[in-house]
Amino acid sequence: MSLPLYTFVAGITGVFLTMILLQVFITLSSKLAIYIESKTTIQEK
Amino acid sequence: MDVILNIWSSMAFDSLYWGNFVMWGIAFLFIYLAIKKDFEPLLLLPIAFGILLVNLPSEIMTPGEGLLWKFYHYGEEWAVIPPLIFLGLGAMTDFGPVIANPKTLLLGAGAQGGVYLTFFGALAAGFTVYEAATIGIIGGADGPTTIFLAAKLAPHMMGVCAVAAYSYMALVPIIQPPIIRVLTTEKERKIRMKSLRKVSKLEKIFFPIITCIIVCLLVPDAAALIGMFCFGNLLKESGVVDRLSNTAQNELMNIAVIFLGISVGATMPAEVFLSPKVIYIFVLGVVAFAGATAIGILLAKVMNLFLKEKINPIIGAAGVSAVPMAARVAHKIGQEADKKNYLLMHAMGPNVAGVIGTAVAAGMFISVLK
Repeated sequence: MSLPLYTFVAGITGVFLTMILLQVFITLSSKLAIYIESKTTIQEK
Repeated sequence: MDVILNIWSSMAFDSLYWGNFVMWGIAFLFIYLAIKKDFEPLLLLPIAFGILLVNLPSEIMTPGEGLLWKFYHYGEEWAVIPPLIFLGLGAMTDFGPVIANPKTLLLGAGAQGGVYLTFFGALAAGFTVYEAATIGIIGGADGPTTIFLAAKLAPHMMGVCAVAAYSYMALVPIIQPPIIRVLTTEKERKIRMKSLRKVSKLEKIFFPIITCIIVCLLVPDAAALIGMFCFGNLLKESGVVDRLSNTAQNELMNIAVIFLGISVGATMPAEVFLSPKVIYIFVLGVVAFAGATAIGILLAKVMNLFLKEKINPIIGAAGVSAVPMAARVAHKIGQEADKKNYLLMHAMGPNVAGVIGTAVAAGMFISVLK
């Protein structure tokens, strides 16, 4: 594979992979944060 | 007579040539645009003065000696200043819209398609692969990232590419609307999106930490930019270091912008700037930016094929980094179709995702080409 084509494929793959993983982990971390906060609220009550 | 000749020879008039006068004209034009037209003045004014200084015969850019060379060498060549600007940007950014609707991260990725489209365009125009990557990243409409990448891959093109990137950032309200109107129907522009949920403080604290870990593991060459961006955001969202957050947003950011602007301007002496290649760079830059806008919109339309709750494809145009200008433009076009359609916060999602996306794209270029 030529260098420009390799750069393109690696770049597009890298950008989308990063964003998809970010999407997954941000969704998970949001759920964790909401769970922790709701637990803390219950304990405070 | 000898005295007069000696005084004359000690002056710099003999060193001037027509190119310097052309560059003075460009510097004066930039100063005019910054002061009179409010055209990205924070950067354009220092850049313009840097251009003026470097086109006056002096040793100001002499390697190892010149003052502006030192700013340039330690600030940009060492890639110190762009990450400092990212620190300030992080401290100013609210990631709430992305956290509330993480799907918009994909729009930030999609807009990078314009970067790669132009990468091939620049190769076809005869630029080297390193230069093509630097020209392509203009499509991200992110000045610090453009400078960061240029410093690593094509330092001789830093000034031109930076000016192109900042010019297109300022021209968002002119370049984007016609593209949005051509690529979307009236019905699509009227799509109303559900109000974003409230994002808690803990979610906002988790975001920069998670983002930093994932991006730095996947694209280590983007660590300097993304690391500082996330650190700045953590300073803001933690709520316990207001002094640091304020410094990052204000004093440090302003200092970085001064050094960045004037030294970027100083990379544009007449003999470098006045070449036919510069015209190509500006043309390719606008292709990159328009391509990024178009691909962001098209990706939003593709996503709508699979989504139950449709997104307004206009917000795909905000996937370029120009924050918050691109989001404001998306909001304005949405309101032209439906006065009660409030897209601003929805568009902020892809807009801040675009900052991350462009930094990741730059990191990928560096990791493949360095």
